[in-house]
Amino acid sequence: MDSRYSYDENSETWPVFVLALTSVAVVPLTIAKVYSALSTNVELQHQDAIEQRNIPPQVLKHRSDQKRRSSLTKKNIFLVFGWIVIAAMVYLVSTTEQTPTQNLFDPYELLGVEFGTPEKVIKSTYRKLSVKYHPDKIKGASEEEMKELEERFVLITKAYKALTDEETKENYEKYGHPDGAQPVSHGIALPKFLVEGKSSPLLLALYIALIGGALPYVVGTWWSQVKKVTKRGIYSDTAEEFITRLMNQNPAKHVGMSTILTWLSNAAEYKDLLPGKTPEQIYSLYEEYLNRKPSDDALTAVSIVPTLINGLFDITANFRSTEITLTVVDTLKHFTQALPEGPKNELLQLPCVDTDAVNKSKIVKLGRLTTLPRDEIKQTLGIKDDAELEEALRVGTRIPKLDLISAKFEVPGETVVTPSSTSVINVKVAVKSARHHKKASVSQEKLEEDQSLEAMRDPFKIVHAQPPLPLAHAPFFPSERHSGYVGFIVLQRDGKICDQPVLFRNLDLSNLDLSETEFKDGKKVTVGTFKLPVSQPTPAQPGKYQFRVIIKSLDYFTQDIDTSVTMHVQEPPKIEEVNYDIPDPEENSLAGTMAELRGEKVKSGDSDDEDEEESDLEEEEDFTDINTDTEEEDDDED
Amino acid sequence: MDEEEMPITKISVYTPLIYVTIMIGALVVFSIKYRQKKLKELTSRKPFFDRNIAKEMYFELVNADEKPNEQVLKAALIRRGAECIKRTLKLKEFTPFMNVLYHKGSISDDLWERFQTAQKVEEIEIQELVQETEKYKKGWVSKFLPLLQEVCLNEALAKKYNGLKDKKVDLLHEWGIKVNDDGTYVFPNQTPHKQTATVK
Amino acid sequence: MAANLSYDPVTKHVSALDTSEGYIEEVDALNRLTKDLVSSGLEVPENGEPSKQQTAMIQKLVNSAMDAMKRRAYAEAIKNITVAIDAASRRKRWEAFQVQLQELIGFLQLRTDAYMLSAKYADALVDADLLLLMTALTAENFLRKGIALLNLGRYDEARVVFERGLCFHEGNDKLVQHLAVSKKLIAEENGDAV
Repeated sequence: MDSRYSYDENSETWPVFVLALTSVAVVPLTIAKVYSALSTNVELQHQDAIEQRNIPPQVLKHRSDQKRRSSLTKKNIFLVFGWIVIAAMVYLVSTTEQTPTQNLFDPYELLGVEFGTPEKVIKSTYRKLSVKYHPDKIKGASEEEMKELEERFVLITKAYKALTDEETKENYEKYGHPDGAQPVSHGIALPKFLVEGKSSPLLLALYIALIGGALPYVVGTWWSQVKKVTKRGIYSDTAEEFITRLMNQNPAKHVGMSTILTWLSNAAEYKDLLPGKTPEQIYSLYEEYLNRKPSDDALTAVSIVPTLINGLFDITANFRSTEITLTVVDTLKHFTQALPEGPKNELLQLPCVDTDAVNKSKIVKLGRLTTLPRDEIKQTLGIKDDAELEEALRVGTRIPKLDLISAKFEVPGETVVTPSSTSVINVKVAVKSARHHKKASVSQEKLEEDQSLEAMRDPFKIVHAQPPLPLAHAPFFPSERHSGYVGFIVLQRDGKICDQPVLFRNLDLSNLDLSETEFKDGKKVTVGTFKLPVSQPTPAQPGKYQFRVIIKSLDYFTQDIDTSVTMHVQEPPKIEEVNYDIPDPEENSLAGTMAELRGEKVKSGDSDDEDEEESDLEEEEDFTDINTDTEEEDDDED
Repeated sequence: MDEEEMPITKISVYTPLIYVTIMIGALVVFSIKYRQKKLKELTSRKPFFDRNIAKEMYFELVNADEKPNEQVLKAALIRRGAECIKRTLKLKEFTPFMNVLYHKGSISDDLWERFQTAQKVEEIEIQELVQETEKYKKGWVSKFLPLLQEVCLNEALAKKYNGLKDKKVDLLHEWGIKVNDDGTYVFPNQTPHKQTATVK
Repeated sequence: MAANLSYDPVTKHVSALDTSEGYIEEVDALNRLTKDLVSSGLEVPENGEPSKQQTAMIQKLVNSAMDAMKRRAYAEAIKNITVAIDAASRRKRWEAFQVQLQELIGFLQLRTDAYMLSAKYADALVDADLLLLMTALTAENFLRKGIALLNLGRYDEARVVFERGLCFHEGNDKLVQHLAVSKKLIAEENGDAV
């Protein structure tokens, strides 16, 4: 072994090395985990969720199993292990003696003087000390003590020389030691037992394995992990599957929920989640679940459906397929509420109802249900027990419905929609309950927004300032679901989606607590805001362009927003031009006399009014409504 | 001053050479294996569109032992061409969508590349088709492509029309509307009284 | 290569041995095209002028259908138009697409009305839907689809159709009227005050 490298004989440095390495990995991970745990806790404490009292036992069991499983993840085990290692290293570091690595030569300290003391003082100090430490002067000391004193004396002399003698001073300044260049020792933070002796080839082998084997493996798996999942949260293979199916979809065939289920069941995630199950089996698991007779496997299969659907409608919206996208979003509602296809789902999503009775009646909407007398409600829902009826109505009246107040295009900072600008669709809604049947009269003030510069810089601030949505009432779903809405913009000209889907997680639901009269009155009504960003700039040509805005609930079968919105592109109103010309001075004024003397122009006092120009009336151009392209077909057939 | 004698260890001249050889060798092996794997992946993957039946049929007929009538072969060629046009149009329509999805990160690099490969495949197909037409009639080429377009569009329209019956059944099922034998409907909700349409 | 086809030199017919989905469709399409080519007697398909004979026959069928409509014999009208469509679909596949498209639009518009008047709303709906897909975006067609939806009890969808119709035909009376009707029906269905 090369003697220039000294290995860690006393276990001083390698624990520090290991400590540093482990901390770098463990500490940030722990901080991130703690932070996310805290923030989710905070998030859950927002608006009152509809209490879920009827969670079926297998779902409860599945949820608690999930919680247990999620706490035993590899990440958590690694963190625990990491902290144990850190604790061990800290202990080691604190208990081992530190031997000084280098003898730092500090002449000032040796002589006991401060930096910058004049030479004279140094000389006298030296004299005094040398007297003290001169070996000849000490008597009766042991051999050890003698040696120490000698060493001390030598050092003092050197110190004095380092500060006064030319040569020595040079050495000190260059090398930090009066004797000149010192041997530099390098330490390697490895304990000696690992390096020397029989275990040295082992260490070499370990080193090779680490650099040549473990490192590429770790990087390789990390990279393939990154490549495995798209930014949307689904596997790349699944995205590929969805796109291929969408591309090969026969346009003549109607795409219904069963088609969507087929697509979902072919997701690549299931190979990891439920290995050994074919897509057909996954499909039947879906059916089990939607018919509310789920096995544990069915619950596992359904648990990833929201993520899959999120990835799917991202794709279908970008492929501009309106019908398919809306079917996909509806499919998510079916999964959240565990209901099969059918027209009565608004009622069937309530607890305690009898499916057959509901299917027999002609009532389809919750709003209508609440107008009926109690007996009829009982009959419609097939409920006999009063307590159960209360339960059903409790949930039914707390499912939010969206009433449209207004929807328009806005360009932040402008009063009209200007050409070639970034616009936003501002949708104002009144959240209402199935109990409310009259229209809320909302004052104009409530619809006005903050016009400050800040608000204009971030027009979405008002949307995010709304309270976060609570957990959805989804007692059959394998895990807790956060409520949400999704918004789409459709171009009316071709009926196809023309922009990215937007997710909304914030909305004020306090209107649900108002009484019918309070709601109609409007004073206590809170106005909800949805804003959809438009990625394309507004057309350069002024005119009217037609769009359709759709905002759907992701969790409930309820009243959603689906309305036509016109984008009226206009040139901004012209500001009246200010006449900056300074008129010529009048004849009879002082300025006029001075100007005359100078020979400049002067306005004669008797000038006629006909010289005055009429200020140009700025005409606001009237843009004729430019209708979008149509093929006018005139049928002459009768 | 350090006066210790450095122990002299004899290292052969070949040691660094061996080291370098091993390193380069390992890298070369790795790169070969990696490229092989990639190639295997690329070729084994499912192609973008479902199987091109029209193309298969054309080749089967042309290479059959008993060569069918020339009109049949021409028809098969036209069908093959119509399929190619259909795919080309579809790919053209989807290009901006795939572009956005790719830049959003919603699809992998792999898929994006495969999409572009699919476009090239169709381009090559068109060229092949044009060459084939020469075998049947000289100068057919100029009329061939417009012909393909017409055939493709007409076939698509016919397909849409023929799908109407099934679509009706699917919609009624989805909406929970039952049809009696006499053709009247049983609605799940209340419907207005005879809302006879007078469009004119 | 596995033989998926079998060829009959007499009939010049190709039949599928492979019965997988879509294969049969393709085989039928091929046979159809062959028949067209053979019966045209041409070496290669010529420019797509629609055949005069077929046009005449089709026109006759349409006329009788319109006649039946006047007599309120809707079932007969529907039958006649359907036969006309079938006849038209037997045109050569390479005949001008635009012509065939316009022809079909005309047929479907007639048939939709006949369906509506005989209370076959679902049939009317899919016909009207296809009309709009074929970009025959007239006010009448929007009305056809919307009213079919109203009669089927699908009020939300009807409202969307009328709103879209108004985007192309601003202020059209009938569309405005029917939009109001659909809104009223939606409110009723929800138990809301109109």
